[in-house]
Amino acid sequence: MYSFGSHKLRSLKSFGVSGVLSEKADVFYSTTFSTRYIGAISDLLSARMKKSGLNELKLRALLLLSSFQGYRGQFKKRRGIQLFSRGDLDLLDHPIFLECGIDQEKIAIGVCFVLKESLNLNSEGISERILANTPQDPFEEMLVGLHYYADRIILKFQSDTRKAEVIALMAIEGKIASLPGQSQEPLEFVLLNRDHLESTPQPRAYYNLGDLDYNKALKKDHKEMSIEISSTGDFLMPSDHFESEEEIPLEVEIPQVTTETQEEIHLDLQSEEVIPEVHPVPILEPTHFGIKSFWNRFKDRIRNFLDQFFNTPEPLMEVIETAEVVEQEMEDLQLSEESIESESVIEDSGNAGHIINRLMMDLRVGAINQLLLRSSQELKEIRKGIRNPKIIHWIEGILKTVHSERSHLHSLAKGLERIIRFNEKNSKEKLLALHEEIKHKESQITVKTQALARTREHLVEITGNVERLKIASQASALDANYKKQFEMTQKMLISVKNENNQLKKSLAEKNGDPVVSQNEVDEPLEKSMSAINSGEMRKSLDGALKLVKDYKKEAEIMKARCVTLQKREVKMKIELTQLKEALEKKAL
Amino acid sequence: MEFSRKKLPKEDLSQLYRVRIETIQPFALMISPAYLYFKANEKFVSVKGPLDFFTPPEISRLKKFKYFYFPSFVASILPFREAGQKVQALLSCSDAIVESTSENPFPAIRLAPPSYEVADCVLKILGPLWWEYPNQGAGIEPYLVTIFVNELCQLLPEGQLLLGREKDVEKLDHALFRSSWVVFLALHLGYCDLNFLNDLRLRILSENMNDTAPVRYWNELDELISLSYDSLKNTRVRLIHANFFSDRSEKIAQKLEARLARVLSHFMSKGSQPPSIFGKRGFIDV
Repeated sequence: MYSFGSHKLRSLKSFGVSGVLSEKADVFYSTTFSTRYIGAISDLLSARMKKSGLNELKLRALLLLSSFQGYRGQFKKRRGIQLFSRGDLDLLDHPIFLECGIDQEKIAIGVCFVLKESLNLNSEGISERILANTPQDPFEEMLVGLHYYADRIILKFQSDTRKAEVIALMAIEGKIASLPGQSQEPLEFVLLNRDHLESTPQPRAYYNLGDLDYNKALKKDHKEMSIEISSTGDFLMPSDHFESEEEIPLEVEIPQVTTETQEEIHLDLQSEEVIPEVHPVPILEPTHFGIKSFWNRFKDRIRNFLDQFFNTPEPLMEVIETAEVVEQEMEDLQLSEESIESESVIEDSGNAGHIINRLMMDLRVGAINQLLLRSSQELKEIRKGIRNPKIIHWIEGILKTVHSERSHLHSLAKGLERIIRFNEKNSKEKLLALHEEIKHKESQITVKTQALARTREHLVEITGNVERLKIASQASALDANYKKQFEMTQKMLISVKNENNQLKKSLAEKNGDPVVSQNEVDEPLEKSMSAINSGEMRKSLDGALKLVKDYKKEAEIMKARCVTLQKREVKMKIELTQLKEALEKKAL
Repeated sequence: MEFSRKKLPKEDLSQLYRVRIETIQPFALMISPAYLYFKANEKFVSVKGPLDFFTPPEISRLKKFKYFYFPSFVASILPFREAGQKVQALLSCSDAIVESTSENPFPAIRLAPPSYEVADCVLKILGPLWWEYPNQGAGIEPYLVTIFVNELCQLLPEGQLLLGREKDVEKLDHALFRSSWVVFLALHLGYCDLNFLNDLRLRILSENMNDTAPVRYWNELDELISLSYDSLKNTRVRLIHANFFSDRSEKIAQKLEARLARVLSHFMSKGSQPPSIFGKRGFIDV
C-alpha cells in the first residue's frame, strides 16, 4: 500500500487530493481557465499556510508547475467557428481544477485536467524515466520538475475519459522526514477505469479560495500605518498669550461684574485691529440664593457618593458622572450668562468667526467655567465634611483635568480664530487687490473708449475729406469732359457757320436777300470763348449747344429753301426754254 | 410558460410597469407576462407569457401600441435581473494594459482581479438571491434562477428558441430551467468565465430540448450537471432547497454545501414576503 507519512493514503483510485490526506484535512480549491492568476493563488495559499511551517519555495514551485502541467495538458488551439467568441485565445474551453490540501503532516497539491488527444501518455516505464530525468516529451519534462521539488508525485490517468490528475506531496517540515533535493521515490502511476473508480473520500472541509479572508491573509504582516508623536516633542502653534497651566486655586476670589469688564470681553473678529490682550474675565457673583439652592440640591448626592466610595472599587467614574450631572443641572438652572455676553456677539451661527467667538465666550464664562468655579467653591465647603484625602485629591484631579481641557479647547479655539482671521485678512486683501485691478482696468477701458471715439471722429473727418476730394476729382474730370465737348461743339459750330454762310450767300445771290453778317454768328462764339472758366463752363456750353441747335435748324431751313429754290430755278429754266422755243416759233 | 390572469382590468393601470416596446429585443425571454392595452375592450390583454419571446415582425407590428405592461410582480424579480447584470459586468473585467508612448512613458496598468476574488464577489452577489421561505427553509425558485441567468448570458439562438416553441413549450421551459440551474451552480463553484458559462448553458439547453446524449466533460463538471438534474427533475419543482446538497457523497455536493453555508449565514435574504411566481404576488394562482 502506497504511503507517505504516518497516515495511510485513503484512496488512490479516486480523483482529488483528499484521497491522499487524512480525514482531518482541509482542502482549498480553485477552478481556473488559464495560468494567469497562479501567482496570486500561490500568494494566498502561502499566506494561508504559513503557520504550518511549510517550505514556501517548494509550495510555490509545485503550484506553478502543477498549474502549467494541467494547462498545457488540456489546452488545444481552437479551430472552426466558435459560437461564443473568446477575446483571449489562451483561455481553456473548460477549466482545470486546482486543489491544495493540508493535514497534520503533509500538503498535497493536485491539478485535475483532461489530457488532449494530441498528447500520448506513454505509461510504460514512465516512473523510471522521471526518476532518471530522461523525459520523452514536454509533459514528462514538467513531471521531472515536479518530481524535483516534491517529496512524492502521483499521476492518475483514466484512459477511457482521458481524465488525468497530478498530485505532488510535500511533507511539512519536522513532521515527516523529507529528502533534500530530488526525491528518491519514483513517480507513482495509477491507471484508472470507470468500473473501478472510487468516490472521493471526504476531507474535513472544502474551501473555495474566494471564501478565504484574502485581504487579511495577504496583508497580515503589514502594520497599520499610524503616525505617532515624535519623541522630540509635539510642537504646537504659536500663541499670543500665555496659557496658564497652573493648578486651580482652591480659594477663588470672585470679583464683581462691572460694565468695564463687559467691554473687555468684546471680541471683534471683523476688524483688522490687533486683538487686545485678554484680561481675566470676571463672572457674575453667584447669589447667595444660588449657592444655597445648589448645596441643598446636591448635598445628599455628594454624601451618597462618599458613602459609596468606601465600598466601590472605582469611584472615579462616579465622580465624573456626578460632575456631568452637576453641569447639566447648572444648565437647567439657567444662570445669568446673558448679562455677561457682549452685545457684539452675534447669534448667527453661520459665521465662523462668530461661532469661534461664542465658543471662546462659552469656554471663558460659560457653563464649564462656572462649573469649575462653583465646583472649586463647593469643594471648599465639602472638604470640611470629608475626611479621606483621596477623595479630595480625586476631585481636585478631575477639576484640574477639566480645567486643562478647557484651556486646551481655548487654545484650539484661539488657533482656529487666528486661522480664520488670517484667512479673512487674506481674502480681504485679495478682494481689495481685485477691486483695484478692476478699477485700473475700468480706467484703461475708458481711456481706450475715448481714444476709440477720437479715432472714429478722425475717421469721419477723413472720410468726409476723401468724399470731397472725390467729388472734386470727379468735377475736374467733368470739367475736362466739358472742355472737350465744348471744343467739339465749337468746331461743329464753325463748320455749321461756314455752311450756313455759304447757303445764305447762295440764297442771297439767288433772291437778293441780305447776307447774315458774320458778326451775328461770331458774337455768341466769342462770348462763349471769353466765358471759358470752371464755374460757367457748363452754362456757356449749354448756350453753345443751344446755338448749335438753332444754327442747325436754320441750316436745315436754308437747305430746304435752297432745294426749293433749286427746284424753282429748274422750273424757271424749263419755262425759260419753253418760252424761248415759243418765241422762236413765233418768230418763224 | 403557463400563467393565470390572461386579462387585467383597466383599473390595474396604476400597479403595472410600463416598458417601451422599442426597448425590447427580439428573442429576449420575457421575465413575466406582457400585456397590451386595448382601448376597445378597456382591458389589458396578455400577448406573451413568461419566458416567451417576440420575433422581429411581432415587434414591428406592435410598435404602434408604444408600451407593454408588466404586472407588479416584476418588482420582486428585478433584483435577480440586476444581479445578472452585475455578475456579467464582473466577469467581463479584463486587463487594461496600455503600451507606453513617448507622450506617456508610464501608463497606468489595470489588471483584472484574480479568480478567487472574482469568485468571492460573485458569491456576494448571488447570496441575496437565496431566500428563507416560511416553513420551507432556504431555497430559490427555478424560474427566478432562469431570470438571473437570462440576464447574465447572451441571447439564445433564435433557431433553438423557435424550434423549441414550435415543438414543445413545456420542454423548452424545462430545458431553460435546467440549463440556468447548472450555470447558477457553476457560478457558486467559482466557474467564472462568461464564455464558458454561455457555452455550458447552450449545451445543456440543446441536450434537454433534443433529448440527445449529453456531452461529457470528464471532470467534475459532469458531476455538477448530474447533481443539477437530480435537484431539478421537472418543471413542477417549485423550490430548490439549499439543504439538498447537504450530507451527500459527491465531491461537488460537498463543495456546494460549504459555499452555501457561507451564503446562508452571511448573504441570504430574509423577509416576510420572499419573491415567488406563485400566489397573488406572482402570476400563477395556486
